[in-house]
Amino acid sequence: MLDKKHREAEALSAAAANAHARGRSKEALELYARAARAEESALSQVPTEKSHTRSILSLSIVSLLYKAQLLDAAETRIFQLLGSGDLEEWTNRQLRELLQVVSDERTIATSLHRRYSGESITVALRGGEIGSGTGPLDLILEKAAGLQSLLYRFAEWVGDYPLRVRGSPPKDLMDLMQARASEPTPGSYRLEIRLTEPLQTDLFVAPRTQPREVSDAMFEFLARLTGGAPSQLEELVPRPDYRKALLQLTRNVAPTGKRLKEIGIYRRLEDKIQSVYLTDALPAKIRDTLPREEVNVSEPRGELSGVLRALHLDKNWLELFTKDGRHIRCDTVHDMLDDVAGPMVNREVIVSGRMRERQGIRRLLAEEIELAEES
Amino acid sequence: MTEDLPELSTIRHPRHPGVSAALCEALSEATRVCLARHHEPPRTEFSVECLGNSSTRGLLWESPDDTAMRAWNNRDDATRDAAYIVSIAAVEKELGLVAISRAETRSGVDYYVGRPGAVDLEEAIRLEVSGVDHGDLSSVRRRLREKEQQALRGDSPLPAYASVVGFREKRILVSPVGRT
Repeated sequence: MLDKKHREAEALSAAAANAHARGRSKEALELYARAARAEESALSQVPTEKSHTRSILSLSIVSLLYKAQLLDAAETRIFQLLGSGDLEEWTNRQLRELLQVVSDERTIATSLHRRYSGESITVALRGGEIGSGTGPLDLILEKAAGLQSLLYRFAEWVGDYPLRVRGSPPKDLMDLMQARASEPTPGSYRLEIRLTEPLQTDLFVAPRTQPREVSDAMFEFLARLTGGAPSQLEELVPRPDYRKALLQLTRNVAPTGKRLKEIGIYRRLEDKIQSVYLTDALPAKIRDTLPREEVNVSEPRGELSGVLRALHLDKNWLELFTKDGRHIRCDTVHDMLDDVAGPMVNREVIVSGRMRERQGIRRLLAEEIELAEES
Repeated sequence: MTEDLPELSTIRHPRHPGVSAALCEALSEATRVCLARHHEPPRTEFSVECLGNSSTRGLLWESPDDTAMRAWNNRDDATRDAAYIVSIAAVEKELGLVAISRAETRSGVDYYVGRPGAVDLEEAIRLEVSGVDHGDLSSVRRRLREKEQQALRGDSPLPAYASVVGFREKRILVSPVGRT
């Protein structure tokens, strides 16, 4: 039943993924398009009573068209498949979800080409509790604030400012960003972040950071993080303290799955729309990528989870309220950042680091903190 | 006495219809690179926990050449791809299932396993795979919980297994998700 055309589609999509990983984007797009055609032939051979098989292959076709950036063809095929009425309900749900993403991305491409002259970034929150142009206010505010913190950090890194462990961004960067909600559209809640030139406080000294450099830095960093190897991130951000800060702030923004499935970040370049996607696979990857000191066998790593009830980073401690009703105080490393840990107060977190013994008491030195998976 | 996992070069068509010869070679190469970061060839013993049963299984492998090291070290997908083929080997050894098909999703690829000889995907089981390069056992277990939650959140009613391979930790964990 899964005939040679399906095998051809498998081989072509594998070759496309390989081409994409090696930076041969045009070749990848062509291979994905050929894979979609082969999968289409395979689907035509599957009898209607094989509903699981038809459902899986149908989703595969649309996904391949999307990856080939054939958005019109993907949209048309989704309507045909939904109209056929012979797919399982879960497939129809996924097709509708895909339709929203395809429509959303087409609109983003159109609006980015049409409207903006300055440096602007469009952020689309998708899936989970996000509706069409709506979403829970707490979630939207959290992600907007997280993106703002992340962009300030990129600006500081680009401007070669010393790593800020406490407090607000440098004064001359404070007017860098204007974030605003965009018009409601099907499939996502959108934010538009416009980057403006920092204040020139001294007539003879140019600002240390330009909007385009900040935007370039963020896209390059996120592209390497989502599609490259850890060594490529090290090349881009050689300083471990800045790399760790940027990774942790990206993790704060990344979806954890249930409330939010994906964040698409877009900007217009001269000849194309550049995009990068943050998904719920990202937190685990960031965990693997964070720079860490060599393991000391006398201080094994450990982790604790609970609600973050208190923290005093100037005095290097935080306190968790665990599920079994205990309050546990942990030490924190000196470079645990305000804007990483601060937004987590009163939320379920996981802290990890080295177990140390001080004056006969065993205590966790929290080196990293992240939000726990939403249940 | 332990029985080894199937040799990775044999995880391919026709015994595994969903793995072409070229894909098998690519995934095997990724595995050699991942294992060489932490262990010495020719054999590494993995602790396998599959659906509540524990066993120790050896995996035979050869040192990767310099070209392979360079090619895969610049890619983020070495650990994931290596985890795919090692998971398929473990699922074959422990459960007698083979890789039937790859199918595209918007953000990646799903692998489906099933009984040998299956001609379609009607009884297929989705395999949700992840690899942990240098994490310890708690990292591997935590990743398994995350994969289980991800699989449960998915909109598909098809049964699934979550599988995580810890390369430094020499650990393979496989658990059922949903109504497997």
